[in-house]
Parts: sequence; C-alpha cells; structure tokens
Amino acid sequence: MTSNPSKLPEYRKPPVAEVALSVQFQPIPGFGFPHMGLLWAEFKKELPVVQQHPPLPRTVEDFGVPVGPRITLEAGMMQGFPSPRVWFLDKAGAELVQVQNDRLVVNWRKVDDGLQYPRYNTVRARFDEAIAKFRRFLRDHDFPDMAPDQCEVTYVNHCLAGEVWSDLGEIDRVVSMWRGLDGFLPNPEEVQFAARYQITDDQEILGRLHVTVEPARRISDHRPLLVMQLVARGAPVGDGLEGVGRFLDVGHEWIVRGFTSITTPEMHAEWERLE
Amino acid sequence: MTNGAPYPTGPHGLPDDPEISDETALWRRVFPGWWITDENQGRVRPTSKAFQNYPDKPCLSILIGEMVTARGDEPSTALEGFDGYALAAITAGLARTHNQGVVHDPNDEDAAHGLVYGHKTDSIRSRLAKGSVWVIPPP
Amino acid sequence: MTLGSISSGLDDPTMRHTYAVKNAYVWGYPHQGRRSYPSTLTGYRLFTVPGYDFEFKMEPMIDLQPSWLDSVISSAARLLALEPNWDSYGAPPIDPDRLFYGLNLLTSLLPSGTPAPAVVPTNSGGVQFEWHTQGIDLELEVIAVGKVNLFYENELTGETSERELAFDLSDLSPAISHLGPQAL
Repeated sequence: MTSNPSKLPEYRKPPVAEVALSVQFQPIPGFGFPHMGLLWAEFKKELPVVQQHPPLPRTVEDFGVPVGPRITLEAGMMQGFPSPRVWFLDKAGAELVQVQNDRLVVNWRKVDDGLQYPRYNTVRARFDEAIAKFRRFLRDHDFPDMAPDQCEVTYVNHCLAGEVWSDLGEIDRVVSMWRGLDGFLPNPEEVQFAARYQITDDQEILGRLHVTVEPARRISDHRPLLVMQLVARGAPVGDGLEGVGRFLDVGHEWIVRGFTSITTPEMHAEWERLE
Repeated sequence: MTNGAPYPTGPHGLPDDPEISDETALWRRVFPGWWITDENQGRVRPTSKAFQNYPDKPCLSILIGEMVTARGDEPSTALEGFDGYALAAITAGLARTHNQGVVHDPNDEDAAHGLVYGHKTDSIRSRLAKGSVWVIPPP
Repeated sequence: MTLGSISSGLDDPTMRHTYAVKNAYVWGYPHQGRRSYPSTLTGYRLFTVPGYDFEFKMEPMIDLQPSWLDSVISSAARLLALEPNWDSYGAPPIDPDRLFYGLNLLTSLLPSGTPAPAVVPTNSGGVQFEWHTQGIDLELEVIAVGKVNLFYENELTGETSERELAFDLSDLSPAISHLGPQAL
C-alpha cells in the first residue's frame, strides 16, 4: 500500500488502451463544416490527418429521475443535417482531437504495443492546449465563447489473459466484485456487467462513474481480454474552464481509485502497482 | 418601429400604443400542432407555446383584427398560404393585464401587423392561452 | 470513444452513454448472436407510426407498454417531420436530442395509467409536454438536454410553481404524481 494515503494508486504497467478527456458545451450557433476546416489550421502541424464522423449525441448526467426504459430512433429521416464531427489525428493515430459544434475531446490511444501510456498529466496538458486553441479560434472568428455544461473522463483498459487468468469465465480473478457460486453452475463461458456510482464530494453529488466490463478477443492472436471502461461524467465544478478542469481531475481520481477497487490484488501485481 | 419613429412607451416601460384600445382583438396564427384539449376548460384551445416570444426578440407577432376587417378583408385572409392553421384572438387588455405592451408594426407582409412586447413567463403564456378565443377554429 | 481495431463485438462505446444502466439485466451486443429476445416481456419493441417513416425502439420492455405510449410516439413522429418555419414565424426544426431526452424522462417518470400528455413543439426547436386535467395545469418544457422548465398550477389547492430544473430533476416526480388515476 502507498505510504501517502492521499496519493493516487499508480501502476508501472497500467493496462490503459485509451484515454479521452471531453467537454460538452452549449451548441455554438453557425459553427459547422467550413469552420472545422479553418480550425484544422491551428492543429495541422501536430495533427495532420483529418477524418469525419457522425456527431456524438448530447449527454448529461441528471439526478432525481429513476432509471426507466429508453426510447431511441431506430430509423427515419429528419429535417436538417446533423452537426458534423471531425477528428484531427497524428500520423500514428495515437493522439487525436475531436471537434463538433458542442463538444471537444482529446484522446490518447494505444495503437501499438510499444506505446506507453503517457499519464494523465500529459493528456490533460494536451487537452488544455486544445481548448486554448479552440477558444482563440472562436474569438478570432466572432463566435461566442464556449459555455461548458458537461465534462467527461474516459479510461478504457484492456486486461489481456496471461499469468493470472486464461479464459473469459475466470472473471473473479480480475474483478474483485465477482464472487464464486455455490458449486452447481460451472464457470461461466463469459461475463459482462455494468455498474454506476454517484461521484460525491462531502455529500454533494458531482456526477457519475460508469463502469462496464465486457469480454473480447484480440484480432491479431484471438487472445481473450476483458475490456474495462470507466467513464466519469458530470457538470463543471464551478465556473468557466477552471470548473471543467476541476471536474476532470475529480473524475480522474475516481476512475483510478475505482479501477483499483474493482480489480484484484493479483492483477495489481501483474500491472506492477507502485508501493 | 413605425415609419422609423420609436414606439410609444406604456406604463410598464414597454413599447405600448394607447391608441390601441384594450378591447382590440389581436389575432395569432396557430399551427396545427399547437392546439390542445383542456379538460379543465372543457374545450380545445391554443397551447401556451402559441404565445411565446421570438427566440431572439422580446415580442411576438400578431395582426390587429380591426385593421384587417376595416380594409374589407375577412379573417380567413390571415390564413392564406397556411392550410390547416387556426386563428386565435386575445384582447389588448388581456395582454396589458399581464405586463405586456401592444404596438402597431406594419411590415411587408401585412399593414395590420403588430407586436406584443414583454417578457412572457410560463404563467403569463398560460393566461394568454386560456383567455384566447377562436376567430377561425381548428379544422 | 474511438476504438475499432479490437474485435470485441462492441458498438461505438459512446453510443452507450445515452443508455441507462439496466440494473440486474446484462445485455449483449448486436453481433455474434448475443442478442435474442424470444420472451414478450423482455428485450425491445419497435414502434412505427402510419404515414411516417420513423421507427422507434423502446428497451428494455420488461413490462407491458405504458398506456400513454402510442399517443406520445405518434406525436414524436409528427414533431420530427416538421420543416423549418413550421409555425409561420420562422421556427427551426425540432432538435431530436431534446425530443428524445424528453421522451425518456416520461418513460422514467410516468406510470402507466397516467393521462397521455399533449406533445407540442416550441419555436426554439424544443418540445413541451402538457396536461390540463383534474384541475391541474402541468407543463414540462425541455429547454436543453438536462434542463427542464416546470410549470404547475392546481386550481383546487391554489398551488402554483414555475421553475427551471437543471440536472437535478427531483422535483419532477412529485409534480407528475398529482396526475393519474390516483389523483383526487
């Protein structure tokens, strides 16, 4: 265990496959495709590759409403075009910035085994830089400033089968919340689950932590793996971009501590948890 | 503004023309998805949303009914090109009772065009909707 | 949010952000035969509206569908089909994000047996659900995803309330509880 209890758990070989820091804001009227092209000029030197994707839906964490069935649109054409989303990527595809007229996301992806997770502070610094460029662009082109309403930290972890576990039914060796059964049912073929927790600070609800664990197989060698995704989402903690930063830091802490809570000491040892 | 001159101002500090009497009927086009059954009133009436300001201006558009009829036009002319719409009316007095002002604002569309100025809370819009009558009811 | 190089059978994970966690239910994914709903009280149901090419999906259907659902789905289809300037005063088309956010508030809050609301578009591209019955006027306007305007008047008790709720929507349930067969 760490000697300083307030220090976050740390791992020499964390199984991080992707990190995304996101801010959602009120849609910027009139900000569309042409402006994405102009904005790319601000990022082109480091992120010379561009891709287009369908927009991300607006998502908020709200409270005081019970969980119920969801209605979604399965098919149909509506009026108007959806707001576009563009990706600015580096040549390796590991670093990217995603922009749409109500969202900015900075991602890091482990696109090959040789890449090391650069740690939260580095990704956070890239996020701050991307925000600064975006706001400068808005100012220079007479758009209103961003009005953030939700922030999101996402960590996707790939736990590969290896020394501690070898088949997808052995989830109890990876996830500490899963308990063995009483002996009638055999080991499951696979397990997946989802949980959500309220993120609080001194009784005040700041947001939600969503945890999902799903089975998968790696394309290259069909090796089993468990995809553990943790998403912390909530409103900015305070005004302005400082409020965004505060939530991102809180979300990161909850993800790291939450990840440590839900995984087993055996896996911590495999990931070389630092004492 | 009328003819470039600023609107007269009423006691609420809003644009409000005292030449438009309280009894004057102010007509409002009602889109087909904007009438609802009010079981409390026992009738179909406009939703409160039919009396919402423009998103970017503190007013909504109306036609001053007596100006339309004074030039010899039927109320149905207010719905020309708007198949399936209905026409509702509130009085200028009802609007003023709820802190609104009424001005004549002739435009290219209609010389009888007017505006009802003022912030409209949910309860004000509800009162306007409940106090409205049909000039041309829903088809 | 971006992974596509792993053969995990996963959808784009971001789309799952708009789905509620299903408590004890574990849901599979549309690939590899993981999704199968032979029971009539589990899984999902699809709804179409005559005259419109929209298809709505509701899940999980662990229950009979609420009594108000057909009426609300029909209204939703009409709203999604509205063209610019539908109100003759320059209104934009209805924002699907706000509409579906509102629909999903109803599925979370409105018991079967509650009178179906009128579903009206607003001139800012939003949607309002309203009830005028049993001496009550109740209007819920979805101003933005996560932000709802609540207007409530009860002519029998004299109670009146008009407020904007953002993210903390815990006042909605008590307001809606005044409606329905249990009221009065």
